Amino acid sequence: MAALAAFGEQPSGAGGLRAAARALAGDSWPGFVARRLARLLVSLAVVVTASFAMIHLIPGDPVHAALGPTADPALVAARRHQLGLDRPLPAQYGSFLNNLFHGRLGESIISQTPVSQIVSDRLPATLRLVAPAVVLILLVAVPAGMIAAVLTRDGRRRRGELAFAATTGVLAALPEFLLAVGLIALFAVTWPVFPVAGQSDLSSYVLPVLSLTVVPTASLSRVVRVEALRVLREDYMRTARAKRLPARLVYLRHALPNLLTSSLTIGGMLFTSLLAGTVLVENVFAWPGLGSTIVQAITTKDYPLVQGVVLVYGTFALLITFAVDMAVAAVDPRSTVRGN
Amino acid sequence: MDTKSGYVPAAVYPVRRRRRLFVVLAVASVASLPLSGCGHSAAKGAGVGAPSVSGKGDPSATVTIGIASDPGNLSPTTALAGTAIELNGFAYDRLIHIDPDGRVVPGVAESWTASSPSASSSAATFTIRPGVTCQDGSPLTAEDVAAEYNYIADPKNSSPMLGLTVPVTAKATADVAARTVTVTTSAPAPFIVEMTQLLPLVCRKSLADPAALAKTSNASGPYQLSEALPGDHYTYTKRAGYTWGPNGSNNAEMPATVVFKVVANASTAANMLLAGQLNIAQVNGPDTRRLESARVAKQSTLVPFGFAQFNEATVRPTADAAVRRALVEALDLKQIGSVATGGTGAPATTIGELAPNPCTGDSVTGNLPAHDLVKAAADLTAAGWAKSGSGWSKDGKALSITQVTSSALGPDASAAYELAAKQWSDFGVKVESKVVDATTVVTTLSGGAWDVAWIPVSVPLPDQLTRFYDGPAAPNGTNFGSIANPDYTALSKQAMAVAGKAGCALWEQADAALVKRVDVVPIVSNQVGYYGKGVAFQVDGSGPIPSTLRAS
Repeated sequence: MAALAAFGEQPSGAGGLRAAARALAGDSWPGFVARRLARLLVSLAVVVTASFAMIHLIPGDPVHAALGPTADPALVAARRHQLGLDRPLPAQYGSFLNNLFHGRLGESIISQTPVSQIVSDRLPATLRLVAPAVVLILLVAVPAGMIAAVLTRDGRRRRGELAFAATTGVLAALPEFLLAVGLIALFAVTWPVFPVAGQSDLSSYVLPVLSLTVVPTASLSRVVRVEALRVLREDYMRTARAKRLPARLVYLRHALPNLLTSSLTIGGMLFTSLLAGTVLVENVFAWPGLGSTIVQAITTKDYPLVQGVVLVYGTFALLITFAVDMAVAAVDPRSTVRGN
Repeated sequence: MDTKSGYVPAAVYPVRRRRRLFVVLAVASVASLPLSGCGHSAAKGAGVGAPSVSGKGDPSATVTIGIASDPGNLSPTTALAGTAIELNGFAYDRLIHIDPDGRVVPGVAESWTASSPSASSSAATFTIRPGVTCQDGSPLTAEDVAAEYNYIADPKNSSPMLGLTVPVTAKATADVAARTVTVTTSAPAPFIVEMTQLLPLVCRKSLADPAALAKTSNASGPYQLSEALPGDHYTYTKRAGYTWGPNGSNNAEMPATVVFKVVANASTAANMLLAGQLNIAQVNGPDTRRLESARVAKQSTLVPFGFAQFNEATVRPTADAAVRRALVEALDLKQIGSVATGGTGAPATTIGELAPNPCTGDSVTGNLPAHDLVKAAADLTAAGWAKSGSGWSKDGKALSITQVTSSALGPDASAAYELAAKQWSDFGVKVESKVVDATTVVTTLSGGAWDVAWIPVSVPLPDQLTRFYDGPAAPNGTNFGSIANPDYTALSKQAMAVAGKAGCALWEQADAALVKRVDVVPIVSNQVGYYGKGVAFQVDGSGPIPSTLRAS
């Protein structure tokens, strides 16, 4: 706290504490960052505890799943003891937290491989799908939504508006795996332009990234269009147009920054939802990522693996939200995200 | 009574994942059982059978095989997953192999003898082929094989191979000069030779640190692991100087490189086969139609699939044989089996033994009661039940049963067992369904609150089934249905004392006794189909057989 308060005025004694408290509660950057960090840590603790509680409270036994229903009861008991599963739940939670603080994620019960190794093997593959997908979504959806808004503002081009709304509506409603299967049927089986599945050269990225991007692009472009319509009706936009500024300046300098707040927020949420939503796409494209790993881990109740992967996903989701909050606060000084 | 381990591939996973080999370690509960009739018996073998596939192949080709899940830890003495056992089949050789007709074919052991010196012990001697080497250049000798036997048999090492490939209580000694390994047990192990078909041979050095082989190999077989990318692919390259395949064959005609690619989705595997990205993949379900119409060649192996067992604990209505008989007569098993396998199954001929198996006889056909509603009603009436209104009751208690089905067997099986429930309720039996998965099946069966379980139990050898249908009930044992069938007990006891294939007739009689008393109801076997393009091969329970792989 003292370190944080040092950002503000020179603290001394009780006055210093009060200053620190003011800094934490008020509209200052250090206070904002500190509050967000504290919230991040609390959220992480909740994620860790919830994942532990959920996977342990659902009935079922990972040792039976690993050894098979024909396992000898004595062997099952020995293996449960070896894994510490015969101890009371609070004790198991205690040692789980203890291991976590020491950076130990344990070993998968089913595949007998360290969880940290599984995560470090699989996460990069998932990120290599998700990162280009997010960039592509933002690069396509924002201009598309803006162009649609410009062309259809003030009730112009009713048919165009209908066409845009219908197309993006249909695309946004498509299930990802259907799209993936359709893309494979067209571009890998009927016309073998791209490989059917697997991670190899650049061409192997085209279909999976495309099946990840189409749906979010359609829904984001609808949001951007509505936001852009709102911005285009603002007084400063009318003023800019009245001053006969070139279109480039009107839209890029005056309209775009005012759109960014919402686009950034949605973009951050997109990134997190895509990270976890790659499960089906990874499955269809035999992609060696983390999404398929967690499904299998949950169905076999592979405790260490589920906890490890949930922790990684949770940390990513929370960090991205944190980063987006920071970015929004920095980009838009009027944003209320920093409090009043 | 010897307790053995088994695995239940058919029990807990949908077809593509079903081959996960559930290996179980059993601790022997050795009881000296007096036996009459069967004394000393012996089986000898050397050079029987011919290599099942020979033929020309492109020795420089790369063959890519799709696997449904990542194998995880590949260490041969600790690996559990079915895919790990499939991969290890390429890198680690076996003492013997079993051909499709159930005959034992020499592998690293050029000859062997097996015997049952007494009713409660077994012995086998293997003569190890000279010139067998491991990947690091060290020779694989009788001493290495004996060391591996003793390592797995030591309960301290908790190897899941114990009871599955190495009999419990096994002790091995080596005679270096004669190149022989002698294995003795103090518990009956009738298939002491046959069970080694799944024992991956390793050099002694690898026993000291099994974890070192988790993602690499020290191969004794035709291939060695050259690249492991978990979750993506595993590449195996052909070893030079390999001459100890089945019947002394070499790997000259086998493809230079075999790549195992992890493809979890069956439709994706089918697409990759059609596009030429895979050469072999296991595909079941609707995707097979596309492959059939593209004339992709198929090899298949049958696994027990449609199967019911009854809970005969005294409090359950199914403790009464007449009730069990009537329940089976009330079902159209042919229809149920057809629904469960999507019309592609074959009538069951075993109560749970998987191919390749020394015992190839039929213990099921003709032993189950036929579908006959009139006779079912008569059987129930004779047993003291009366039909009032739409339901059967006895002493004021309605005939109500709980059936256990596994979600892991797939949607077709779920539909089939709903159909069974419908046929029973039409007959006047109240049916309640409980759905379990891989993590809850054992706790549910041990809990005892069930009457019929549609859970197949599959093992490689008949003696490994005894602890499911005889002996102590749960929670102390794995006789989940509390079955006490005197014929099965007596016949399996006799069969335990006969070494090898010679005991098959007794095992088949023992299994048939369970079917006749309606303790178990084997209905249908399901085809596990492997499709291959640009490649010839044969399959068994663990996947494509390495020695039969030929690229064209």
